[in-house]
Amino acid sequence: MSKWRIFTRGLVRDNAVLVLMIGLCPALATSGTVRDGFGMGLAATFVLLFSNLIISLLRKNIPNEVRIPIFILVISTFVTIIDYFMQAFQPDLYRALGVFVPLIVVNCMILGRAEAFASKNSVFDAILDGLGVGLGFTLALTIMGTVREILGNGTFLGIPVFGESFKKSPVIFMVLSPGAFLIIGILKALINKYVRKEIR
Amino acid sequence: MNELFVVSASPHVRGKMNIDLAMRLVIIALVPALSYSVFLFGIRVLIITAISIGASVACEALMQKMLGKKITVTDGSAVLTGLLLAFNLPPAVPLWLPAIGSAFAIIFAKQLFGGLGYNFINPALAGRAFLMASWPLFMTKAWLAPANGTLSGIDGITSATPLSLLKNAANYGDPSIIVRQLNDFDTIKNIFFGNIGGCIGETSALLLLIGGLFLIIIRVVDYRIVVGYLVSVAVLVFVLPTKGTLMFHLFSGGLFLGAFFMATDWVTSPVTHKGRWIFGAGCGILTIIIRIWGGYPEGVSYSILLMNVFTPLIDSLTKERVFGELSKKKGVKK
Amino acid sequence: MTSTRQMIITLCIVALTCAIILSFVYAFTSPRIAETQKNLMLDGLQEVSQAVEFVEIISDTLWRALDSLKKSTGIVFRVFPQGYGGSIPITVGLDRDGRITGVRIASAAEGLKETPGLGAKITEPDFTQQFIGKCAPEVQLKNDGGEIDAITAATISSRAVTAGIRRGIETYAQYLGEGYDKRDVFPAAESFREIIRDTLWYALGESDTIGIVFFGVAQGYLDCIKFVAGVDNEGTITGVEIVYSSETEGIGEAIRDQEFLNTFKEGTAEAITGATVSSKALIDAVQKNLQRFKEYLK
Repeated sequence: MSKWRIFTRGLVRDNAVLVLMIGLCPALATSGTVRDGFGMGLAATFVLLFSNLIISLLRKNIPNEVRIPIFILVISTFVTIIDYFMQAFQPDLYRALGVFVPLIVVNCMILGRAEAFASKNSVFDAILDGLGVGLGFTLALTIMGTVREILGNGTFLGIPVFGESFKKSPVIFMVLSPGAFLIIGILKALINKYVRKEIR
Repeated sequence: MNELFVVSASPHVRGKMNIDLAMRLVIIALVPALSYSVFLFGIRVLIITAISIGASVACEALMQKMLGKKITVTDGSAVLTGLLLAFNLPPAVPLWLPAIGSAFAIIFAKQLFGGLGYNFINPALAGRAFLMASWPLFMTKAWLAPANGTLSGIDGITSATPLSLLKNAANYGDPSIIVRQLNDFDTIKNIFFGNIGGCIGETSALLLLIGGLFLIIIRVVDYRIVVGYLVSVAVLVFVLPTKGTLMFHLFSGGLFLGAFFMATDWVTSPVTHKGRWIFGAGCGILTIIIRIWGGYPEGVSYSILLMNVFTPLIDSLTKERVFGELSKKKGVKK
Repeated sequence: MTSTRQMIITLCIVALTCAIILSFVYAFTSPRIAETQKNLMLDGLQEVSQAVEFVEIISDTLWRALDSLKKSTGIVFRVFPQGYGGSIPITVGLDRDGRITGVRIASAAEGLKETPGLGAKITEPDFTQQFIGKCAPEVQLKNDGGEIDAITAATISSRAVTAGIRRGIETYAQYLGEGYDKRDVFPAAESFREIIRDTLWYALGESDTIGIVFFGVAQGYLDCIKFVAGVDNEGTITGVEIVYSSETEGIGEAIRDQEFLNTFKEGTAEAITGATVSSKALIDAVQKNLQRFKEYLK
């Protein structure tokens, strides 16, 4: 597999949320606004990138029987780091994301990449894979956040679009979880039609 | 060529009833209630209904064209969806609301699941639930007083429908007096004839009853669901602690509209006889639970939606044994 | 097959490394976290009060608001009344007269569980601005006889907010009293020494006690009136100030009048026409407390 393919695969074709449908819980809960979705995406990308890097580095030294505890240790270390930094430098975002920052530890997308890819591949490949999957997650959450914030709140990044009267009575359905499912469904349909043509 | 025999799978004997005819009959059965609603709330009702039906038909045609299917808007099912959605809206909603509701009902609840026959929930009710979640203000406050009475059915209180008055009596005065007034014969009479406020199509229990009985007699609607629904409501009103009397609970809100016209939707209700009894009873139980303990004053639409989701399960659990099939207990010894 | 010893060693090494890294990260970020959290708290409090500094009285619940001269401008408190979907976190600022200086209701991101589009509208300025300048009896929905417009179709949430704020004022208004400047009623004193907690102080001159200052409560027309009074060693009143009162505007309010309060110093205080109940209650209460604390006068 080419290096470029390793990177791009996670972006759209094997997008965690939209195609594999994993990591859905944070995707539903934190994609209410663009800022939250993008922030959550970047936090997960950071954790994914570094956990892939470290696990790939250690892959020859990790005994098979205790690999899962070690993966979790590494992942939770990076989650705690991002948790502290976000609390210190992005308190508003931290407050909005709430419990979903510490919950990145149990995001199966990250443990899944550690188990399925990083523990079996070279460091450079693992970095590319982590970046690709993480940015794919970020992309999905940002698109969902954009649509949900514009339709459900009448704003984009907090700035009103479509005027004040729309902001007064927006499509509240979209900021609720059913709205997120609806967008995931539509995006999945588009990906199936235009990217994964072979499954038809 | 006409002499060729058609070879097909069963059924081989067909009745006269088909989708086109059934849809038209249901629409005819709804016309009296609609006419009375126009009398009660004015010409606005007709405009809302027209917009709702127009949007519904337009979306159906558009989606079928985009998905490359045969355009079947003349079968009347889209018209019926639009009409039922309008029946579920308060009369004073802004005019864009029915259009958006119809679009959601047809596009997301019906066509994306495969069109008529494949939708797993009643499209009109899905549209209503979508509007309820998005614009709760319009959906719970845009009432109009009827031409010949008050919104609540009792004199002096003009800001609540009977069911929300029953639920929040304390907000409008002495609760015990209000509850007594609501269960008064005069009030029940108003509710039964429809001289009260409410959604466009739900006010007159009498006209809905006539339309519904007509459909049951000509076998478009199965009596099992209707009877199961109404009887379970009646039983629960006796058993559970509720402030309303039996008559009040049966005639108020959208119970008749839901029981006769929406729970009985062919696509989203079970096909087995036993399953239809269970389905109707489930709707009744959920309706009363929501009315007594839920956050909303009325629970008909959500209870039908919830039971729609259970329909496949009910069907598979109540499947009739095929002739000759052995029961599971006996089994076949090898 | 790996040996058990190797597994244990690897796990220990990884865990230890992680712990060391985290301890460094913690040491680096924790001062900053403490600071941002303090700022967040301060921002939240300043949204409802003009004060520049807040002294915590009850942890996370009640603060005394101080201006730049460290003089009390009132209090800020938090209440969590039960709304439609859950408890509603509300921060309320009060000035020294018990009038609301600001109301802030947490948004959905901060834990509000009211229905979006209905109950959640209580966070909007259109609703919260109404409270500014009101005192306890006015904080009720118009339906219930108060002056607050409910959010359409969200009476339960609106009523929860008004009831919560009113109860909060009733509970915490007593703390308004501790924020007054005792020098207002005893200008001659250099400093004060507390004898009975929150109630009685010696007024200290350059070397000796020159009188007392006491805090008292009178039962007014609507609500209790809280006041502070100073008395010198001769038994002469040096001043009386109203600390808290929510008496009827325009009538009972007259007891706040400086002219009336000054009559205490001359010993000629009489009930005010039109505010007889309030003013008489105040005069009686000042006298009663004076009798009670007389023994402390030298």
